[in-house]
Amino acid sequence: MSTASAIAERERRSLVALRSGRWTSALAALLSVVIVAGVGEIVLDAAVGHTPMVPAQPAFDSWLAGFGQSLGYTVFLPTLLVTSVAYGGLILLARGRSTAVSKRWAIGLVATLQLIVFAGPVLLATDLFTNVAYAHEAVHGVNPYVHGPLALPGYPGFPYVSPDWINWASPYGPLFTLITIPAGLVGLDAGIWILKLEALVASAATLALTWRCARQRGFDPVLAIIVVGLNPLYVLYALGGSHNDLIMMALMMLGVSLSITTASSARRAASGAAAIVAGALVKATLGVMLPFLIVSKRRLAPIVGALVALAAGLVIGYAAFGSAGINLVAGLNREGHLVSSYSFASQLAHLFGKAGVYPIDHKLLTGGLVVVIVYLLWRTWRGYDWVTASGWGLVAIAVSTTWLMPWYTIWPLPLAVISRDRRLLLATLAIQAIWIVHQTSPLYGPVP
Amino acid sequence: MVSGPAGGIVGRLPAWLAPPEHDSAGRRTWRVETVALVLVGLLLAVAAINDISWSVNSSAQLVADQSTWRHYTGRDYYNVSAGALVVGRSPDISCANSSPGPPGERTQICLLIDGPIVHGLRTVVGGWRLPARTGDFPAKRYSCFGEGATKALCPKG
Repeated sequence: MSTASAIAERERRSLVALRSGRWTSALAALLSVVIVAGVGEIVLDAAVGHTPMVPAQPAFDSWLAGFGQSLGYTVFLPTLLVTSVAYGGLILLARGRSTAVSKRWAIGLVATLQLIVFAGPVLLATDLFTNVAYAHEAVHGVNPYVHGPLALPGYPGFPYVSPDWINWASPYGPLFTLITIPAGLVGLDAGIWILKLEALVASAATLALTWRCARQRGFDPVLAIIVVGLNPLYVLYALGGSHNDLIMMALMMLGVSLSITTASSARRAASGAAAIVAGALVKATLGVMLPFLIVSKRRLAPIVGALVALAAGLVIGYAAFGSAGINLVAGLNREGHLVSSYSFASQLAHLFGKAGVYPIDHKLLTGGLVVVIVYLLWRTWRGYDWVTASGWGLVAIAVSTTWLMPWYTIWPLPLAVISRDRRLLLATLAIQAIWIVHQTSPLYGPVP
Repeated sequence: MVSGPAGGIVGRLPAWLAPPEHDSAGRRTWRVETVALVLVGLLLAVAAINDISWSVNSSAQLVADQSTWRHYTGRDYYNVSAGALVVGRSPDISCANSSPGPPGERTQICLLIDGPIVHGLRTVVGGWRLPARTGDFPAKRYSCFGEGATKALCPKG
């Protein structure tokens, strides 16, 4: 080949690459618009008022009312599907071509979605109102670990607490209740905003720490925050419902970030373990990560850090709420006996011809979970990455629990994007996809 | 692509899906785990599809039962209950007010419905009436007909 033709060939290839790059960037922009439009549609429609998808709530976001139409499943489910497909497409584009989504674009897109959901009504669950009620209980001398919201005389938020939980004492850790106390010092609307703000800050912290961990481990941080921050279940369910899982996840990622630095000092390992214990004092589920960290590090520092944090948390929890406040297992046990139609356990029971999940099934599932955790610990002892093993542990909990809520499936996501074992990310996204498809059943037939 | 002595499926996987190099458990463990994960994933997917199918069929039957009640009684009421008389067995039952009013606040007409859906309707095989503001307890049933009478579902007759 002559020099001139070689140059011509090189120019042709660069032109093709440039065009291809433009196309992928344009497609990425289009998918981003679809995601923003989908989430915006859901938020504006939800602002119209109470439907099965939007819990009854005070009109604290009344400025949004009047733009949309009442949010029914015929709008919500297709929008969720389309948004999820666009999310999947964006991941593929960002994974295949790092220039398809710029750093600035990704951060702007994630921030936009978070702010849209923050500005809107509470979506898809009443938990936030129950948590505001627990905060009011704590402030008004009623122990939220002994009494449900019903014990709070004259509480104005009663109409918004689900009848299912009105008699339930708090299942969450004492650190969470202490964090929410400001919401009990103010009126109902302000209390709702405080918990929404806490969820937003926790989400931002989770994403920032995911970014940091991805860089620490040599992964593309842009792809990492796209996978986590644009995830429809993360945005619509976890942030939309202002669930405390976001606070738990922020502490989880803080613990991971402190523990995975290359220059991992004893102090950092101890701090990492302490952060994970703090997360478990928000929601006990996170405690599953601690054995993996300890087995992986094989040193005293994380054990000491965990014990110091646990002791401090228990002393503070006991001082604030008595012995009931530090019984972290009680909440898990109570929820463990509930059954949601969302759960994979229910679906498997139906597949095997059973009407539902029975006590023997609870025992089988718990046994299966223990086997998986022990196996993962053995793998970690043999050198498997403890972050990935923790992610698998959280996946196993989500799959085996009979009380699965959609936002439980996001727990392993930040760990999956910083794991070298890509099976974890595939598995996490696969169970989310199965869950979403399962939810869409009303679209395929008549509705009574 | 992953190169190495393992070959086979693992060797043909794209690099981003291959076992991490530092994973000391070896490719055989990785392969067994992956097969187990795929099987669990398939099981969950099949269970979800089975649930969707059951849900769609149930919804179609509930809608048909409501339509059957409206068609049979000639009353185009919105609030018509429909469900199984005994869980997992036929016939099904569908009840609603005999005259306009809030749900359950008037004398109820209950129909026993069975068989396949034909043109959006199923077959009425019996039924009874219930007084206003009562649940469907056998002792409260009266004016039974069809299977309601022949299967002794109404103690009062």
